[in-house]
Amino acid sequence: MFRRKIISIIIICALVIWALVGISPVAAQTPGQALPNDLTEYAPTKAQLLSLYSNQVQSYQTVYRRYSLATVQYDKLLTLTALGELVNATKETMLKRGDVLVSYIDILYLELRFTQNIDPKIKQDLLRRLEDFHDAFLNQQVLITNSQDYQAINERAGTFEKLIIDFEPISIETKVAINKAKITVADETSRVFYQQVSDYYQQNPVSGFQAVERQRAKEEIDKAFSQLSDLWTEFDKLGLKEKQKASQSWYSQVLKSLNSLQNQLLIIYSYLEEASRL
Amino acid sequence: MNLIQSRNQNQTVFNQEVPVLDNSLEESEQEIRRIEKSKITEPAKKRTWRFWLFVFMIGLVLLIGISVIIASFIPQSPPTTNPVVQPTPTEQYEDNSLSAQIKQKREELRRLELSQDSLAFPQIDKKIEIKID
Repeated sequence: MFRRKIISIIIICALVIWALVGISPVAAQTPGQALPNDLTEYAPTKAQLLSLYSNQVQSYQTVYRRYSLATVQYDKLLTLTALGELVNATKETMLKRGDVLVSYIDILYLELRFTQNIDPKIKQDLLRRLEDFHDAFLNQQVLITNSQDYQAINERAGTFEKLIIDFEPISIETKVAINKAKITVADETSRVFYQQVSDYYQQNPVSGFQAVERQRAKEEIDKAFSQLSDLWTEFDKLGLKEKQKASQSWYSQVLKSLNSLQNQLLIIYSYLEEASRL
Repeated sequence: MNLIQSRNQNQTVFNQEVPVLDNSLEESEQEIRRIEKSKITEPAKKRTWRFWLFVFMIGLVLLIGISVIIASFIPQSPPTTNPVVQPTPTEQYEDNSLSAQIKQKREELRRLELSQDSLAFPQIDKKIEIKID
């Protein structure tokens, strides 16, 4: 009697410890908790995530082929065995697709968190929404795992479709925020370099032909900066209106505009490099 | 005479055995007392051991639980370093001239693959389902 009590107490305690240590952190692990805070860990973590993502994409493609084959097989045979195989193949493909999406969200989250020069309010809002979608896709994975027949699988297919429609604009907004911030940093850095070149000219005055060269270089750089400002104005015009959702076509336009900004900045950097040697 | 002798012999035997019986009785009583004492003290010892095991397990569970809860509440703020014109250690020991710094930043900007879009949305089938006619 006494031994039984002791054993039951130990089992209960062990279960509680396992629940606290084992299940809770995994179940409640948002990308924010799983990913590092330290800037030095950014590159290795990103490499790790990209490798995982790449493997998951490959696995997904493999099971997708099996799913396509099972669909064709069922259409031909129309037997219960073929249906059973189709259900299993569909379930597996849906789970692999979910894995790919969860890793993709993790990569976006990591990139966004370590990108500077993003409005903190926008950044926090995007991070929070990415966390929500991360959880939603994980829940979806659990529901798919528990689905046994084709009706349940099709039900999950419906909820996934809704989820992905809502997620795509968020992923686009995140990418725009990241790319814009990178171009902004390059822009700010170029202005710091411009100031350093100007200071250098003031501290080391020259005369004659070299002074004319310097003046010409400065004028060229000023002109390039002016063109850059025009490009920024064009970019700002592309901003999302209230309640407008980011679409792929909008993203293509934004990407084109960011490319123009990048090219213009490359020209400015070339001018600055030349000017710093005069 | 025989009867008297026999009686006397028996008396002698009786007189000899009595002290022996007395001793064994005393020892038995002592043994009984010892057993009774041990019966009283042993469960108490066992209870104490069980109690401390229980306290230890409960304590362990509480400690782990509290540390997990505290860990989940610790804010995880992103790094606040400003990347604008912060030369890396390699830059400091290599060519530190302004033109070299500009050249390096230009290379970094050139490597920025916006058009290739390394963060492209995964190529997945969004409509995986079972079609049954």
